[in-house]
Amino acid sequence: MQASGTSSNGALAGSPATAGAKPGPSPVPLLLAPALILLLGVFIVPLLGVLFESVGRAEFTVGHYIEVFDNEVLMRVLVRTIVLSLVVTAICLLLGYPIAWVMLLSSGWMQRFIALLIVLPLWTSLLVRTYAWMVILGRKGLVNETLITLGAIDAPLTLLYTRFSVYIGMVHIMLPFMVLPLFAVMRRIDTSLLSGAWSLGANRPMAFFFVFLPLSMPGILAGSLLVFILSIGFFVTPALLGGLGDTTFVMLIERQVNRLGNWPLAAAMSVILLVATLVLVIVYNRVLSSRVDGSALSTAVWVRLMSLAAFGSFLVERIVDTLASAVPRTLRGGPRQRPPSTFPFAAIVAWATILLMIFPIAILYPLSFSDAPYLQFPPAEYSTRWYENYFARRDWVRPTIISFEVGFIVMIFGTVIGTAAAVALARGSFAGKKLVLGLLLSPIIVPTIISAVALYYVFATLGLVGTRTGLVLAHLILAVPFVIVVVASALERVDPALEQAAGTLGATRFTTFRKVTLPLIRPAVITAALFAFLASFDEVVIAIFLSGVRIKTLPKRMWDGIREEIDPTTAAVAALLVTLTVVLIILAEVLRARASRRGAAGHDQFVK
Amino acid sequence: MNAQASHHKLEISELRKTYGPVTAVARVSLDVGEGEFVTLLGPSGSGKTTLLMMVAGLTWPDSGEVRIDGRRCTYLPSHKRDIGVVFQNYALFPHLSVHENIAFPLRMRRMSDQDISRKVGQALETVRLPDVGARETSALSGGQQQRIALARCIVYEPSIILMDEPLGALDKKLREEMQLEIKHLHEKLGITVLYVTHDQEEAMVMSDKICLFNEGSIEQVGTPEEMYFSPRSKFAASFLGESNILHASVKGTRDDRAVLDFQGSATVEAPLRFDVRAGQDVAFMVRPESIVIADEPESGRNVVEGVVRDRILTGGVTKYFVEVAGEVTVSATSLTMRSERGHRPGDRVRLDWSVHDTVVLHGDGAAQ
Ligand SMILES: Nc1ncnc2c1ncn2[C@@H]1O[C@H](COP(=O)(O)OP(=O)(O)O)[C@@H](O)[C@H]1O
Ligand SMILES: [Mg+2]
Repeated sequence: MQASGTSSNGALAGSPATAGAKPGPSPVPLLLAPALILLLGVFIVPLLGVLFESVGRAEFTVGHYIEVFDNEVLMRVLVRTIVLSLVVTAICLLLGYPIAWVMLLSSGWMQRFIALLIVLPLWTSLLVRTYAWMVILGRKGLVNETLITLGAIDAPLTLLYTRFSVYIGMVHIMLPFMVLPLFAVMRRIDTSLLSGAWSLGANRPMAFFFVFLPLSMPGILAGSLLVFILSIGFFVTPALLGGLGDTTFVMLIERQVNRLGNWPLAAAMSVILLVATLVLVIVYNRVLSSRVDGSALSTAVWVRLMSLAAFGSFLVERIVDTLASAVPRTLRGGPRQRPPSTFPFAAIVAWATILLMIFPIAILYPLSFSDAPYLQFPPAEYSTRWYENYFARRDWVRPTIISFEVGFIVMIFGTVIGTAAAVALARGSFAGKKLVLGLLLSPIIVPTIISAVALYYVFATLGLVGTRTGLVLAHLILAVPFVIVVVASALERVDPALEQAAGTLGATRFTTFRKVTLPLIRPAVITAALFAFLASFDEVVIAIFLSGVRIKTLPKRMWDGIREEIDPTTAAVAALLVTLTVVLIILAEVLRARASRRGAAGHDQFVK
Repeated sequence: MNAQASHHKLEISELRKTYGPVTAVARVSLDVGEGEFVTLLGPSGSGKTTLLMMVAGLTWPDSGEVRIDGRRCTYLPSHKRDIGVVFQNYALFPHLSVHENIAFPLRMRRMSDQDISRKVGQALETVRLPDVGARETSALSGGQQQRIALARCIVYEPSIILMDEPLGALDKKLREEMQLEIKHLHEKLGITVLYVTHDQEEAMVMSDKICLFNEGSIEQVGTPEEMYFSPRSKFAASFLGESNILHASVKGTRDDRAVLDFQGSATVEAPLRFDVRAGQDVAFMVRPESIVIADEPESGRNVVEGVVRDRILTGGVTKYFVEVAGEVTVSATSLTMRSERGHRPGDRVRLDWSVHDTVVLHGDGAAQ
């Protein structure tokens, strides 16, 4: 380069034809196409199908809706479902608030540790967690055995298949969705305001009730609405833990479809639930969007993603920033500033709850090594026979293989489709971006049973029920939102100057993506891929509807097993699943650490 | 393509860019000759970055044209333009080593590995960091990162190198060092540079030509000397260096001089730079260092009388603030000397300066 001014023009000759004209619209939004086509075909059209079914396919009628509202049983169940959800929400708030408070009072690593314990249950499939409660609360379960051994009772108590067990199971699953928004909001509150109140003569409880509590109200609202929305459409746990008197609205929908084949009625019920959910989501976004960052959709996604926060990855900070901004700016203080005093009672409640959340998963291991042919805890004898049984039986191994196959394909396609959509959303500029994002994330918050009913309805006519293709398509709808959220947030952290620089250095848009952007967001893509896999591998509701006799997934097999068999093979499978999830998450973390050692993104190195 | 013979590396004509109601760049035309170092200087928000981004192909203009090496490339994507850009925060790729960062543009040009190694080595030598190739970019200091960013640009010999406040993130001492270093690189390699800064001193130190920006338009283009000694407007006069901007009305012209009536208290003469009418209000500029506080005014110079209001010793120079014509304060600087008798506040003094240091300014002559 010593020679002056010799340009290497030739290497990069541009076509003069394109140089003069103003370029057309950017092609970037086209990357949304696969995700939108998928959403349209596997989500929106099926839902519209349900809508049409509900108003009479041949000629318009509101008869099915009248049927729903006139049916005393249905109405009673609907009211019961709402009450149940309200109670679950209230319990979650009462238990979650102390936990969030204790997290707030804790120092850095302790805070992280509590966060880990809160999200640990999210690592494990919902089915496993519910199953664990069955083991604990059953007639020969841990609680009864303990009480009998202690001589406190003579005959076993009926704990399982009661409203009580439904509350326990649901609170266990919903609690993270309460704690994390609460914590996110609390963290933004300037706690020196409390000291201020004290100095003005308020005593501690007064300062708490008149200063802190009102300031944390957006968190209370956000967490409560989120838990309520998720609860009313919740299927698995009430179905497994509830008794005859605890039937919920979604269970009736399932019954209409699978037992009675009353499609129009099931469709009308689904639409009612769907509308109720959408209204609540809109209320959430309307009421809270000015006070809390992120919509109900993205909050729900982020809370689930928190299960990766365990290793102190970037998600911890990210979710807190995403969830909260509730307090007026002037009131925000240093987030790490701790209030000078704590309420001991709050700490006790918090720690008891946290332990209670971890415990059910921990006992799966001893249980699975039991020698008894029924669920017994603690086991009298230990053996590995249930593991041997699992590996020996085709009716267990085959669903496992299918689950891996489906999960793997969902992972590949979900990651590609979701990443493309994330690039379009993060880099493109086009009208209606928010709406598109909302649509793409909506499968997360629409009760899965409605998606499942709708898909069953469409797939049955296409011959896709009981096929891998059907399962893959359906699971993709649930996997893509995770990928979009994770990858888009990583893309937002990539300094745009890096991509611009690559362009000026001679890289095309595509090369820039391949050589610069992708390596920088690789850790996030790995995370996203793992989630796409788990979203499919763990999924049970859709699998219940779309599995066939030959093609069924492992969660579907477990579902059958839990309902029909009593042998602890299921416990062995559950323990294996927990182990697998932990291994996968550690693996992802290792891969990500390796990727980010090369200075890659997702992390704070060159956050704007 | 228009095959006209052009000795300009870069031609910008009538380039315009608006963001909603904001006109970021308003019909700007500018030529940069081969091997020239041209600086866009202007206050923050005056449209410098926007202009540079349009030249780089990172922003599309609303109208106008950009030519690089005579080739029209107004809407050509940046990877097809033969340009190099040094970004303010360096934009080094954090996932690539120093060597691979510099090799990046060469790989894009499908150069052989052997050539790449050689060229990267040369580039590192040129920026005087021959041994850092294997390192991570994050292991380098700010100044070193700056040099790597430079090396990544010069390694593929682009037609023109664009730099947007490349020294903005460095501390003052390092910034001054790098100013000289970039200037020497420019001289040594003969590269063509379009440089952006809001720092007038930096512009003066480095540039062959300064292009002064104000609110999206070019206020004046010229060599640092021209910009300093003959600013066109009040804005140019006050943006570069220190200046006294005074107001007067035109009495008439004599030979090639304008004769001005300064606040009714003195007659001031100035070289006639453009046509003026008798009775017209004009502004004129005198640099503080041109003004001498004299006991015995020399003939043939402009003289006004005033009262010293303040005297400030700033180090090498001493500043006087002198009230003239009853209200206007004029500053005058002189080298600080131990033996200087010094004028004290309240002293009546005479200020005089050469007719040639009196610069009549374009534009509104009304006092503000
Ligand atoms: N992307 C943008 N959107 C809206 N306004 C912009 C954008 N970029 C620049 N501007 C506006 O254009 C004007 C010029 O900005 P800029 O070119 O960055 O100035 P400078 O680099 O001289 O500081 C400013 O008023 C700025 O606010
Ligand atoms: Mg700028």
